[in-house]
Amino acid sequence: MSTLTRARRTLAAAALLAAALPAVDAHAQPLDRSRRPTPPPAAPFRLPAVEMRRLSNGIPVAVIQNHQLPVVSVRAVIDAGPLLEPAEKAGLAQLVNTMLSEGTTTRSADQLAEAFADLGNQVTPQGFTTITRNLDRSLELMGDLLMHPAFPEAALTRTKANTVAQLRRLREQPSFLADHLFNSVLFGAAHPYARVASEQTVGGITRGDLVAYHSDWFRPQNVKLVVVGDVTPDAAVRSVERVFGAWAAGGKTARYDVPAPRPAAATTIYLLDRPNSPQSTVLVGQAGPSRDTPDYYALETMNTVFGGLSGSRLNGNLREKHAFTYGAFAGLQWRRVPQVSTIRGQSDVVAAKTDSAIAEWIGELRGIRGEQPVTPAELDFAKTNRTAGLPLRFETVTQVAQEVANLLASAVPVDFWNGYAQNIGRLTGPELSAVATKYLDPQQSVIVVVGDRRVIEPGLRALNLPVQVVDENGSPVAG
Amino acid sequence: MTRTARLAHRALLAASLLYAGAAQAQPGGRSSPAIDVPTLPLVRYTLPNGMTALLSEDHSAPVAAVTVWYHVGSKNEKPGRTGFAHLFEHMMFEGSQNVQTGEHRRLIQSLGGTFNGSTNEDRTNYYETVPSNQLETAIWMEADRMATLLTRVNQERLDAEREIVKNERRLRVDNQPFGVADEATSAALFPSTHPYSWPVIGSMADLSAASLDDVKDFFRTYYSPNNATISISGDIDIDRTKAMLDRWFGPIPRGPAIERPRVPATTLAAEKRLVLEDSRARLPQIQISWPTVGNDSPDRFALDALSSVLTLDRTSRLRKVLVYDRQLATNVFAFNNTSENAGYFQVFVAPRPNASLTEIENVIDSVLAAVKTEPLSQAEVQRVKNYAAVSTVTGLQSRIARAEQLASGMVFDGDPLSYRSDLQRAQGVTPADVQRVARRYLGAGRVVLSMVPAGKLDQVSKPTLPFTNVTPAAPAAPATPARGTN
Repeated sequence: MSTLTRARRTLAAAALLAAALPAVDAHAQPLDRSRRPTPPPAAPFRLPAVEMRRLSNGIPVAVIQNHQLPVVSVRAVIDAGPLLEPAEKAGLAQLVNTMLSEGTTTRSADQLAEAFADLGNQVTPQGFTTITRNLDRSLELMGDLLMHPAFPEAALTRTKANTVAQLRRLREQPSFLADHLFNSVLFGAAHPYARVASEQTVGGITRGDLVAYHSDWFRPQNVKLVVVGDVTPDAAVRSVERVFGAWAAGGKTARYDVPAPRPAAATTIYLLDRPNSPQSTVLVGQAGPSRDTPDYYALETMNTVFGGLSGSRLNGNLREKHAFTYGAFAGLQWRRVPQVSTIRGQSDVVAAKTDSAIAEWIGELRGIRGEQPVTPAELDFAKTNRTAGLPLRFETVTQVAQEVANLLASAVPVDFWNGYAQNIGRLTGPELSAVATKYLDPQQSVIVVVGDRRVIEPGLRALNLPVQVVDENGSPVAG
Repeated sequence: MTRTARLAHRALLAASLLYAGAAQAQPGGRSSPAIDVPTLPLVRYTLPNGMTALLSEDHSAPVAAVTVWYHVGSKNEKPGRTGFAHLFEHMMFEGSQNVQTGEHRRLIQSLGGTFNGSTNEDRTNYYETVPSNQLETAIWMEADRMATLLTRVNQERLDAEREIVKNERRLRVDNQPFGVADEATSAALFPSTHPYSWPVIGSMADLSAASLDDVKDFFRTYYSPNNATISISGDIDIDRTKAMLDRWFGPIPRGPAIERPRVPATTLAAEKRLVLEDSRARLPQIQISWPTVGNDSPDRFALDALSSVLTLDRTSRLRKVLVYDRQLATNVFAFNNTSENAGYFQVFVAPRPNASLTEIENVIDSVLAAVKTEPLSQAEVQRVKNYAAVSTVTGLQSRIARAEQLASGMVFDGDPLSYRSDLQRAQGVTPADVQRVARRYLGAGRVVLSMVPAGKLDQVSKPTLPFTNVTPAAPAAPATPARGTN
């Protein structure tokens, strides 16, 4: 160590002397700050190489080497989400997930806590990030959580009671209320995307439900694994095989029979009264295409112009120009192929300007559809942000693991990023306008407002759009 | 430097980053060997105008991160101008002589970069992560606002940012159930003249009062190179980066010496009991806070360990009793908040429906009494230590995290690499240390805040004891100056 330190100091001192010379020259004449550095073109970026392997029982494993730190990150992508639970057992998938950490057939929950403390890292059923030397032991614990849960009755009773409390606290949050209301009115209250756990559905869930759900879905055919970091593919697969190669076959293969969204209706404002709210939480959106649409790149890039970034139009209008809000953003919520997506924006706006903000928002939707065509500068901004920004997206081991897990969860090929820059690079302005016209329709949007009805309703009524006052689940409220 | 020398230099840096185990964590569990914590490569120097530069070279990803720290925060604010340091931070994104109004964010984002800024009680930072070949644009932009901000600030944009910040306050505080809890607590923990008694976000009235002259004064007083530290981490060349800093920051003149406010750590003579009602809440909450110490006190390490002994995981004392054994709470957190000059220790409880806050407060007191009077085990004090070591390593993954770590160490500890010595000091905490700080700091002088749905005063903890109701009079206005986050 001391040698390294001394060598570094010496080199640093030499560098200081070398740098002093041009600095003197710079002082000879006043610096012209208006002559900004010319940004060089984006440097070629080598995407992380994904190595796809398979365990003896068929579980696919994506491995990406990255040795920048002695760190590894593991993800399990499991098709066992809430879409698979019966409507009358809403909350079951989440309860199963929580209960996976409440003890296994060979380790009590306290023993698991001891094991995590020995390592110095938590392990969840979804994965972990830790130092390289903890990889095998963490994998073993993760496998135990996923494959051998005990689902103790006492822990279930406690977890259910805590879940009920949490459901009440969530309804204190305007963002939760707005999100649930949006899905309820866009898809219909009975649609799986609008389903949320209630005190009744959680109350009716039994240990038998958990055991059956786990037995059905937590099976090799529904599992994909991701290992990223300071490990070779061979070593990674050996380690993963030791744990997950033993996962027994059986159960069912996850399939999603999600009803199609109902036909788009004329734009309506759905107002949920939340008295004493100084801001209104506003969502504007509609259903979109599936993740495998050929319009994917144009849609995402159009959204970068429209609302994806703080430098996009929506934030420029609602925050920068009008100061109605601290921020306004729009984005695409993709679901696993072949399900539909949602295209929507969100902003918390000062109560007195709720109607003005919605009017501006609708104006921006009209604009991106063609009234204000995407300029060459905007097109260039959006494209370079997406392509030149790739190194930032894959900077760390944890980020790479999450990116690859997201691809697997959406059923998108893992070589997706290889063609990304080219697919973005060839987009034109008219193509962006075309997808905006196709998918963003201010005449057929859902507008959700959670705010103080007393303050905001008169302004909303003056917008010349239908206003429907609703309850938390989207059902109309009289008066 | 010759090419050969530079390559050798890089090789040394890479070696030191990956393998040098300068701060070795002792095992927190039963049998783990010590964990090697990387030592970030570092070149540290001061420009002639007083600006500190920290350069950390690592070529493992083609990314560079820049952060500029100004050693000024809400504690430097004048009475009647709470929230000003943060409002000023917003003005720094409004453009400067060569950056048009609104251009800042689009410029960085068009390079594929990300950026932001943040303000707390003690410092304000501005940061960018960019593809490494775009480093100079980030440096140029940071220098342009340090050198020329006042050529562009104007009343219209100040008024706009003022409204944006008010909306930030509504979002984070006023529209959140019990959102003013921390403000109310800080106002009670610290004397009203103490700068940690008011919120970083400020009060609506004070934000309304901020003037263009305030902006100019604040900039001239605090935004000088001698009050700034620039920290750059990632895929950089040391010589070229130094030349960029010399070129763009070198000509900025040194500013006046900074007069720093006297901000002592505080104590409370007696308990203060507060009640906060909120019509938007459906369940009560309770938090108890004690004044503790600032960053300069070594006791902060034992206080951190105490918080872990209480609530780190399901075996920790307070979590075990409240969540698992008695099942009075869905969750409980204890933490020790250390600012530069003072701090506080807090226990926060989210109760089960129908659980009594009185009973919860009694459980907290009995658990704390046991910590103070009965021996703690070595194991319960040590279990957090492995977590600290591992998370120090995994926390060094991103370039911006490294740059921030180095800047923080420089500004608050005078040592950019203080994360290593901090970890060593945390590893050295003993059960006796934990007991000692529990006795010393978690005494009778504290703030007990009961938070209940509006009108449910029967749910207040120990409702027969005298209390102060700190519920804001109007829904959007804060009742008391206290503090929040940026």
